[in-house]
Amino acid sequence: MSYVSHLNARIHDAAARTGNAVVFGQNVVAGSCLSGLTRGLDKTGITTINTPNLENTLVGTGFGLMMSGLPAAFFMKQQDFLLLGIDHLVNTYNLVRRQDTGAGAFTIVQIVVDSGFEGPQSALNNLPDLCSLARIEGYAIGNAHDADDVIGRHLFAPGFRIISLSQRLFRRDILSWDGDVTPCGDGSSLHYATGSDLTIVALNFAYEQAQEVYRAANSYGLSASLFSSNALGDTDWAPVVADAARTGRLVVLDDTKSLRSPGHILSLEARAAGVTDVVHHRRPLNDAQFAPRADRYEVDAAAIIASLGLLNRPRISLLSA
Amino acid sequence: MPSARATALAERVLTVRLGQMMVNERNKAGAFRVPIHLALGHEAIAVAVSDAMADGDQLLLTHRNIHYNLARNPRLEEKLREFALDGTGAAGGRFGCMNFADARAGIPYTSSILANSLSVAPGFALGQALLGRRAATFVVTGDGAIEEGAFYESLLMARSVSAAMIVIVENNGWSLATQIDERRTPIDLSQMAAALGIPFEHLSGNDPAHYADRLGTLREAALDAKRPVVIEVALSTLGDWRQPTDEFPDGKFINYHAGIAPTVDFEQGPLLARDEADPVFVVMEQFGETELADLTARAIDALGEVSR
Repeated sequence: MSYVSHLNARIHDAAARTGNAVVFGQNVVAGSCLSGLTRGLDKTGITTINTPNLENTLVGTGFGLMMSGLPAAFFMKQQDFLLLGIDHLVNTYNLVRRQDTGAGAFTIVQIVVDSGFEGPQSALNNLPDLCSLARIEGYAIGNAHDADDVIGRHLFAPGFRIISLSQRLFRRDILSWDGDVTPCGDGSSLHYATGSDLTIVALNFAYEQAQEVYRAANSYGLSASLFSSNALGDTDWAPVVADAARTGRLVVLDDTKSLRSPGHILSLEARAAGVTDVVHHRRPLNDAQFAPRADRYEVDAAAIIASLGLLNRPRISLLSA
Repeated sequence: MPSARATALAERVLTVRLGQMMVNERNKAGAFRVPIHLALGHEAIAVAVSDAMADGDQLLLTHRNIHYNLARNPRLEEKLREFALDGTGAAGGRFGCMNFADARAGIPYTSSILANSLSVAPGFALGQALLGRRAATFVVTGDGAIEEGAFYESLLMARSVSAAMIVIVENNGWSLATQIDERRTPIDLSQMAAALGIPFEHLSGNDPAHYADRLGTLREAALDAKRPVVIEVALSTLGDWRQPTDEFPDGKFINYHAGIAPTVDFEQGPLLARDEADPVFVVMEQFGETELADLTARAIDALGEVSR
């Protein structure tokens, strides 16, 4: 099943559980329905509204619906457009968060245009920065487990948050883990595997790259722990840091473009806990990102493992992601 | 002989005026750390909006909100405590003055950001409709905020989702220290509203009973037609003064925007101007000076007991 089909199914599930939900935004039930993301929601019994192109007012309207006690979700393409609503993300939310809004909910679901070649004004991939503006809850969905957890727990739950999706992944088979997946800490991270040589963490949409490093580590006979964090707001890093303190090595795969990413905080917390070998891997943040380009986040898994001094073992095999 | 309703509205105009004057005296005495934005001269429209509101209606305000809060709920002491950030204030000391909202009085949201509440209002109006309630959402803004894109956006949104949103534009001709012709081209709101198929009405003269009648009619029409309405109200923010400077030895005109109104003195009584710019003058013209004194006495009672 594709990433977008899986998300659409989970959104339908959430809508079925929330009879008075309101879903609104441009083309949510028209045209391609945001490339299939919101297709069929007008058949579920919830309220769906195709709106004009008014991002600022649509964000404000979502808060108005939330203060009316309704669960509302604004689906928008693209994250770049959300910048038009920043007044409400900060100023309106700062008032709403101090009120008792009961069952009222507001979720902004926005798509990061990380598919490449869209140009410098359609390449924002900075959910942590948006979250930081007003300590907003933010979640990124990189695989099936993120989708099940984030959409299932948060889409129409009381409160306010932003959910971030990857356009690059829309048509691809959704990534998943074959073994058990368990939430850890406050639920802001998912735990896939426990190893003894290094701890690997995926941020934002970097689960694929984290899997690549994990498989490469296995191919070198190493045993790795694997986590992903789908929460990019105020993340509880304690379980990940505890695991890294045990393995002694931390690799953070981070495809955001935020200058102050949560990966920095995780790295600092790990060092404070005595983890000396920390790799916070990112793509170069330079002027090249402001031109049309492939915009891919690529990792050299062997080089990352080598940088930790772990390649003194014979390689067994190197699997592709 | 004015009707009982007109008398009640006139009394409430005086309550809103005197309540603000008492806040001003406290502010002169240094009682508040939060910035206070008085709305002297805005009382008639505030009283009329309050009168037009039915149970379940909601009112969204701006940083200059004290007149509506007093019109909806004249008890002054809890507001003084709120402005002093006391936990026993009307909003538990959480909001101060510029964000003061009293949900018990039908005021769920007040924003100090220019035009911010305009974008939130369609959500409230839509929410009421989705909850199956016949209720209107009033949102107040000013001639400065209509310059923001959010004004146009919110009208288009409300019209597009069939929201009964009543937009009150308080046009005092000023935005901070600049008058309209100092900062922009004129805006014909009637044409702007017409472009979106939205009814428009212009109110002037500060007659609270006339305003209340019109607002009541427009509210019903908005609910029946399921569409917004724009109402522009001409008014003056009173409390200006002249400040002598080297350049202006006879005193430079200072338009009141915020803080203390130094020339407004509670002991001098509620009348601030002897023309239509002052709603209290309009009331006095309708009721006479003797009745004005009686209305004033009752208005002070309505404010409730106030601590020293």
